[in-house]
Amino acid sequence: MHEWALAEAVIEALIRCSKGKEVQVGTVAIGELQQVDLRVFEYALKILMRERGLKGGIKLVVEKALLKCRECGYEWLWEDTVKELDEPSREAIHFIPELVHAFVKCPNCGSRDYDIIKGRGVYIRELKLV
Amino acid sequence: MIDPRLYVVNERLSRVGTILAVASGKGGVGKTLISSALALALRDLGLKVGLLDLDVNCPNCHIILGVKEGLPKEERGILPIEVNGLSFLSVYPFVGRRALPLRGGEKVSAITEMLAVTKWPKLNYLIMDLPPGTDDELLEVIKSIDNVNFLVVTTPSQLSFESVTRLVGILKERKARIKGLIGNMVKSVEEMRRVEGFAYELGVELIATISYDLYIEQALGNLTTFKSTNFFKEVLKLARKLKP
Repeated sequence: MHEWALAEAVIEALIRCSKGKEVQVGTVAIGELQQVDLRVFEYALKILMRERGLKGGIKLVVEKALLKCRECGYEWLWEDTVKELDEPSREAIHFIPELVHAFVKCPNCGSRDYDIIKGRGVYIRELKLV
Repeated sequence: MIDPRLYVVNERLSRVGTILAVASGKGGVGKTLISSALALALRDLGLKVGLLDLDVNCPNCHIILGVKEGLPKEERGILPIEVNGLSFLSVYPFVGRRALPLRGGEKVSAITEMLAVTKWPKLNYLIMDLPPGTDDELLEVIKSIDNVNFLVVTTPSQLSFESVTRLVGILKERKARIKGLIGNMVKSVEEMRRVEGFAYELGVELIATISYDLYIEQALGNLTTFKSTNFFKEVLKLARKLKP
């Protein structure tokens, strides 16, 4: 599962950024666009934390994905577009969220020239160390 | 904000012996053909080889390898596609021939994702085909990958020399390792001398000169024909030189 690769990245980043200190809490944001399976991701984090001897807690926060057209300025939510996509297209975006440009056009003007304003993928939003 | 992907890029490449990024400041000098042919040639010499097409806007390596659209498998990450004895990845299997117009930051992010979640098998060589220019893809590869070596491609044209001079300037400034210069599409002894002189001026070893092959276009899409071209035979010589 792709979620494991992302979880491995989060754990590696937490270990290196904490520089030997204990992680009290790490807030990990998960952008909707990447369509991460939260149960698998959470399970992978739990297992990897145990394997790597990492203590502390990880809080997961889902971030809505917002897109904004560079041509006409229209803003729209990923959740309003995703229903129209077939499974292979959604899966491709799951692998590499930027591939959304190949499958989704601006609902207002039809342009593919838009920005992913937020909710792209997985990142560490906050890190509290003890 | 911490981007966790950046922390695993080199771990993902840790089972690769040598990483060679094929680059040029100029488009149309034959980077994709050289990358693909070099990967196939090293494979023919009995090595385990991967090919990563890092041109996310306009990937082309799949044409030479005959890769079809279709999602790669997952196993705690993306597994490269096995094709003609190579481990291969590009955005093509995901998007097919759809347009993918990415701007700077998103292009970099797509590359980072590919580098961070692809589980390469144990390889002797990983060849990376870079798009032309000295911007996002090149800078990201220099920044993110610790053990990358650059193969710089030029043609005997003044226009190519100008762009390649800029590219080599950046590579040297960033202390990137330059494995050598390849002079491609060389049509005469005079052009070969010109490329030799250019390599000397740059202070980069001319690792190969490859003759202009009039028939290469007709050989695309058929691997047997492709491997019988003079172009491929000359790339095979380069592969022998690179083989450990």
